[in-house]
Amino acid sequence: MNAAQMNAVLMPARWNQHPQVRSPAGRTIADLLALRSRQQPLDGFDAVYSDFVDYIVRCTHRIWEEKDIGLCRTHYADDVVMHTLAGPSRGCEAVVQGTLGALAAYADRQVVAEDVIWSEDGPGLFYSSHRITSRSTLEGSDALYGTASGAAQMATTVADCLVRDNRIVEEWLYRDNARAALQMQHAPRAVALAQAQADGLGDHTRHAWRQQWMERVRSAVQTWPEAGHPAEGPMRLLHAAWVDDLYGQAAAAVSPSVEVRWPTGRSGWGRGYWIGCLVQLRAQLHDFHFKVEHWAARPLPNDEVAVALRWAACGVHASQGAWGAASGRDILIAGSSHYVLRQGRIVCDQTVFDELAVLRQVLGGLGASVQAGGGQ
Amino acid sequence: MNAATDQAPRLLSELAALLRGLPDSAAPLANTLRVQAMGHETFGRTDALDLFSRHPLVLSATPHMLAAPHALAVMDVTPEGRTVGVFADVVDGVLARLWVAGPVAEDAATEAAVPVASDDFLTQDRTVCAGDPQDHPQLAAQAWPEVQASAAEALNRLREPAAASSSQALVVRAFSSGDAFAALYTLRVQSTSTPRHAHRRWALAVSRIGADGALLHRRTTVSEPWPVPALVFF
Repeated sequence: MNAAQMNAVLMPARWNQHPQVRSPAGRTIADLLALRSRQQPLDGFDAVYSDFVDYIVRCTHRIWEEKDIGLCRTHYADDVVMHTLAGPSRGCEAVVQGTLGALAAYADRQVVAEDVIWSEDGPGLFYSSHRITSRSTLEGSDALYGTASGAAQMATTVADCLVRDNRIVEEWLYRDNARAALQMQHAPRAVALAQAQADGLGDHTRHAWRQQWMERVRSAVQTWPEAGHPAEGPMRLLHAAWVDDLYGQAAAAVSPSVEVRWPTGRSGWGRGYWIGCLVQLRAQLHDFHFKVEHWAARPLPNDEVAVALRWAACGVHASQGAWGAASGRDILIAGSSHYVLRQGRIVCDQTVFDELAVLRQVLGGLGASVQAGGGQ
Repeated sequence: MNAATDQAPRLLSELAALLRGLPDSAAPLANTLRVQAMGHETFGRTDALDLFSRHPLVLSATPHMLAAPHALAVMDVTPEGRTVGVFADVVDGVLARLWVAGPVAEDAATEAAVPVASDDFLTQDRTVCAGDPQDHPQLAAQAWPEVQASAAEALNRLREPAAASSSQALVVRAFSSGDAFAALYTLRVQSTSTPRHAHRRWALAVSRIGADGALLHRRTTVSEPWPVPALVFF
């Protein structure tokens, strides 16, 4: 290893390096799909990709919209692990099969890239937090929502991907599934209950991942970005809110007219609404633990900055709230928050987690254990 | 001419084509175009065109317009005599987000949502207009008092006793252009009766101020009430 390579290992790349690599925010589809020459070093990546954002947007487009699903085999590692709040899936062929199934049911699925907030976490090791809002119509058969109803859904997903040499080696996929259920004219609680009942069958060791994840959240020490990184501010205020319960102090660092978009239709403006979303979640969970698992930031057009935080939280569902009566169960929530910073302050918070999978846990699914002395 | 005024006529033409819902419109629109208009919120350029093809909005030949490098504000009167305000975010010369403060369509609908309890007046600060000029770097500092005054006027138009009620305007966007400014607000209007139902409206103000900050001219428009989302209880 030469000095430059050693330095790259020791010193993570700056968050705003390669300003020529543009966010998809505000761009036309023609601009996004235009072929360009290589804009940044991408050793090991297919020649068609001009930069890392182009890799994420274009390979998603090719797989989902051009229907070349087999490209998953050259864009995912053979042993890729895809984490969701409903459990992990393993292997590239599982990705291929899942994509085929989704497109057989929802052929017209458009995957609109809202943003790709990325970082280079080591030499040749890229990380992307890709926020997508996808529109699709049920014209085939879906295991959850029936057959060819013509119902349409438009749910937001954040896909975080760790990428090396043109292949996604690990992915964290968080989708606003309770909102999708409502759009499909299904009650989220009924859907989650059916899933929870199915979870109770068979070998329960398949749910061990959830307890292991919660143990990591409870035991891990929070690490922080280097001073001056744009993610530091949002991390500190989330920490102030969810670890110290100092919501007012946290909100003071947020714009008074902040725009808030949270799962299952939560949409509002202002510090009070922002606090309301955080408190609503926290109030239901006792012995609450929270950890940011990854951060990234990138410049946005119009002198704004995008920050992505991938986080996980857990606690005991011991108080009545949005998810109904206290269940006494351990609940894991894993999500992603995308912030827009203007003049260093949060003006928009778009948070995604799978509230359907939260309900599934509340209702006894995913191997949830009952705490001694828990409610209900 | 600066960059904003250079691109303004083109942007206005593209905005007019979008608002008319012309299916063959070649206007370059952001793939992520989000629209809040007529009581509908849409995402993506195709859904925006679908919305305006159902509910076309025809601008007059010479609408009042204000432009900045990152935004465009239009105040106009429809053929029916109704004032409408249109505000657009602009990214690299492309329409990226749009609000229309005006009528609400008969088929208006907002998505069901989990209700969130929120204290809009933290620490009993009954400020009629929430916002901070720091968040609007394209706004001239001396315009801020009039941005707040325009919010109060928008609420007063609703015959709401703004200072004493629980209604509030939040400054969503604001920018200056010469001696004029435009400000877009979201209004949360809460009834004084019990139970205290709330609804949302949008408002746009376009004003001119003198060098001393005194108001010279103001036009304000407020949307009809937006539909209230159905509440989701798990």
